[in-house]
Amino acid sequence: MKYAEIKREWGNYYRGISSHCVSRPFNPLKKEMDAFAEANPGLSPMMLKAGQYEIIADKFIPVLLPHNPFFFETGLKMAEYDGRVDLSSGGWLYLRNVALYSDSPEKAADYRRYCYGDLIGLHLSYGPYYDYDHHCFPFSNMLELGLSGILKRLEEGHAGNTEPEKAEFYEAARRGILAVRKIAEKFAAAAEEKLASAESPEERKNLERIRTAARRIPWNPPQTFYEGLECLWFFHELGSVLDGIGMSVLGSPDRQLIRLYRRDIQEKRLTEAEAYELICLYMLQTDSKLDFDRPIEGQFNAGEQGDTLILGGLDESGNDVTNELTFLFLKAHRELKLTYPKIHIRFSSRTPAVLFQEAAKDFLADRNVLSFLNDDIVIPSQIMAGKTPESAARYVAGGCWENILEGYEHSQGANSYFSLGKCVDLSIHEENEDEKSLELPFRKLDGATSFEGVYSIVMDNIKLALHQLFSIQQKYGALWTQVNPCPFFSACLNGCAESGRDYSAGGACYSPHGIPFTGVAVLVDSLLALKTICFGENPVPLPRLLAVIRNDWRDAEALRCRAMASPHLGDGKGEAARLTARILNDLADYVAGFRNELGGIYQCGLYSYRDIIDWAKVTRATPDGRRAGDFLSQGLTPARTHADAVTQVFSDTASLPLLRFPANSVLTLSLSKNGLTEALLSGFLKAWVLVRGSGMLQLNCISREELEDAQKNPQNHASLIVRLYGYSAKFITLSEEKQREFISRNIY
Amino acid sequence: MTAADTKIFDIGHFSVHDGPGIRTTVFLKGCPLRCLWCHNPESQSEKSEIFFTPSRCVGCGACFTVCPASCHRMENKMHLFDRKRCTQCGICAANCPAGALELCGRHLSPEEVMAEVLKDRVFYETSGGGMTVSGGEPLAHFDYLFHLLSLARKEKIHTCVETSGYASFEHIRALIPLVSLWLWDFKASEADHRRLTGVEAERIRGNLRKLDACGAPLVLRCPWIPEINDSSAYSEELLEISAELKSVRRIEIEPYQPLGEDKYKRLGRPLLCEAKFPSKKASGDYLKFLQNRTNIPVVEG
Repeated sequence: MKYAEIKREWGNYYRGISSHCVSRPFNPLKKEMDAFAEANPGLSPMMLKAGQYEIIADKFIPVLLPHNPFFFETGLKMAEYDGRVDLSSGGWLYLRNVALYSDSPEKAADYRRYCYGDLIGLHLSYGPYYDYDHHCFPFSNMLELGLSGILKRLEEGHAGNTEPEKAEFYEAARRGILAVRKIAEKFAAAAEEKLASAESPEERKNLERIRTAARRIPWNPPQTFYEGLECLWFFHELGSVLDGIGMSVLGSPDRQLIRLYRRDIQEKRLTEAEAYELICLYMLQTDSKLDFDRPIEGQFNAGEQGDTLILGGLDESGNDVTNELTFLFLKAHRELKLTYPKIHIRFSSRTPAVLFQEAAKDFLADRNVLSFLNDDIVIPSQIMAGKTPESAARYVAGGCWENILEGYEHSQGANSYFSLGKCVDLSIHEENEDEKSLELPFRKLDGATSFEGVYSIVMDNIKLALHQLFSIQQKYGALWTQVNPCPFFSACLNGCAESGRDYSAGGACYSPHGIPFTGVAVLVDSLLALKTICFGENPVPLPRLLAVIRNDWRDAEALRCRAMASPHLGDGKGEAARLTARILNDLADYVAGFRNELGGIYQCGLYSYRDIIDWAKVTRATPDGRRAGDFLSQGLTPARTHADAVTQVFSDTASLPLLRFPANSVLTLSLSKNGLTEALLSGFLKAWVLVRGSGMLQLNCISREELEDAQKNPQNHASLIVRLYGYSAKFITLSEEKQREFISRNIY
Repeated sequence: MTAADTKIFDIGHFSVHDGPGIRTTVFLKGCPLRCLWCHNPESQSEKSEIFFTPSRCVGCGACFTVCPASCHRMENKMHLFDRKRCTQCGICAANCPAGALELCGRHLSPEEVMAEVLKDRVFYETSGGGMTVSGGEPLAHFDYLFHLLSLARKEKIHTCVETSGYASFEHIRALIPLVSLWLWDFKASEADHRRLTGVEAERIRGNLRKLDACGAPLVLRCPWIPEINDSSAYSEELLEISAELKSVRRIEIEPYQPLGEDKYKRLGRPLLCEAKFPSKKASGDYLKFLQNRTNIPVVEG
């Protein structure tokens, strides 16, 4: 059967549990779970979670998809699941307890204040307080130890424990592990039952495979390449169903499974063709869940799915792991024309040239689907953040870009997006009612008499808003462990079994919170425009310029042009880069003074999600010439109003203290396809690595003419896929606003 | 012209059209040819010029007050620029906030240019690129060019010179050790050459043969402008000379792009010819036609 037909067939199943067919919150086991809670009043959240695990294991009905050699589908997660708690049975405990965040007037007031940050475009509360998505299941531990090994580690931790709270964690984690064992056994039994009536050799082969594997793994570590792949997918799916937090990452299969693959090949249990077929089926599973031809405006979650696959990169000894599996996964993604899973390729100065070349191929075929991580920045940035080299080498990007050390920590990279551009706005404009509800005394720039005065006021305002954000998080973040402890996930992480504490209580090796800053260029360019216009040659009085900005630059085109012609991030002339470095160092210094409620660090990042559109609507005019509502700049990316060369952009970004931004530093660039070849593009990618242009690169190779034609004649551009803000989508399915945002980006 | 007089009208970073790999292209101002299809009209004069883009003018009046020759005035809300009085001093452009007035052409020393070129060194190393000197006609600035290419050689940077070949061969010979690859324009048939470019083909073809005899690696770059230079004689002469020469690595066909039309308006000059933009199919067919008759790779440039 052809892959396209298989995908369609699986898609038919997922359409039955998609947002178009079922209501939210989606939890087929809600009645049983509620009844359990009623029958056991007074149970702690930890023990309620243990009950949740067991109900799921008892009640779920295994779904074995046709033509699929993998077992994982419980029917308890919506097709569009993206980590949200109301889209799977796993979110039951969270939804039951979330009221804890606002069950007193003080809590409710703070909760509102925190959430208003999003409404006014200042900071994002994805959680609240905690990110429930973008996690990575500790695959490496599971592949090495199996569930039995995890249980053993847990029992060893429990052996010396005398604290009742820790005992609860051990007990809940143990019950979680046994529930997962039961889930696998139920899949084995279902395969056995189906075998009785299965006729086709293909179906029989798949069912026999599942029956055998599900009796062995995940209780025991996988012994074959097939079992390894199964483990990755099983825990990617089950992690979310059981604990109600999104497991975005599908693993780093080339580094994690190469030993099993090579042994299978050597012992003639597997051929490369058979491995490729397994990889194709594995990859199809993500893509089959969403309909990528549906217009995105009307589609739940804007057509995005978080699932991420990581390939390549350095190991703990500093050796490049690129191997034959790396290329098989890339080949499958390309040949099947997949949009998902998202593939992040880890590059470094040691990456072989052939991987750069392979990566370049997709972009020249209208497939802007890959993104790139720079080990030479990310690994040292993690080490600088106090983590061991061994753990740093295991980093992955959860979802779009949120760096996580697989097996050592949870994700916190997407919960607290913070807009530097909005802080510029609030340093100039009078607050409206929504903004006033933050109760923050933002100082205005009117009194400044020098550029240093301007800088201090804006930075003080940024610090003021950050301080409030951190304070509220510190105050209520600790509630997370009462809202949604995750003892099963935690038991699989390094550190929790030893400490006897859930990850939500700080039990894992590391407990960071992320603080990704967005709109760096708005801030830098605004400060430089103020410096040039008000404190440079032929100065304009600051109050006059502020009045013009407050009037949204109306009737002041000459001044606006002057603002836009001022030095700016990406011009490669040095001044903007120096100011950006100063700002980034000041931000990192300030953030370093805080510890989160778990005792962990706040780790800075530079990236932006859809807030470049959504927050732009509530960000008024800024001194860089941006009018109210104009799109914001993305992550570390320069503003879209300048026409510099891409080499000048790298010249600026490479000089920045990006090692102080371990959460990630993302540059989003569009190159003109005109004249680009595979060799040129691979050379470009390698140059990005060598100059250390950023921690991550989101790349598009496009032509403006093609995009404009795609707007007019969409039928001719059905296969054009573009990289947006952490994910890719078909251009013609985007809303008019999203298309406009994409087209307005600089094309270098 | 002395090296001190040479003006640069652009330095193009991340250039992927002017030689192998990712390159930085340095455009020198001044050209003895006047090709009818020239898409860089600002490259022709050796002197600085003013680009004027009325649509960008915001009417601030800054240029009226600073221009020492009173070239700018406003009439009926229209910004009028009297080019006849303009001395190209550039003061108006320096004071124009909107980019409506731009000075084209400034002197930079070869050392200053090289400092800019070196910023992109890593891109050359990862892609097999380097520096290309274009124009205008770079050979019209021999002293400057020699100095610049010598600096590049010292830095071990791959160099290309894009030239019409209309120059003294002694100059060309002197540059041979400094040029990694010559991008040699093959613009028109002998019969049409003077009419279409303003100069005879004889000197250019002679230089080309001499350069080839020295073994210098060459790419022939051939503008292809339907109904202007695309005579059968043009194709035949191209095939003939490329068969005769020993050092031609590639033939690059450059279908006409209407890139320069706007620039003529901004310089206040009339277009020299109304050329047609060939379809992709027509370009592809022409490439195939040539490729069927030569063993040298023919590619679109």
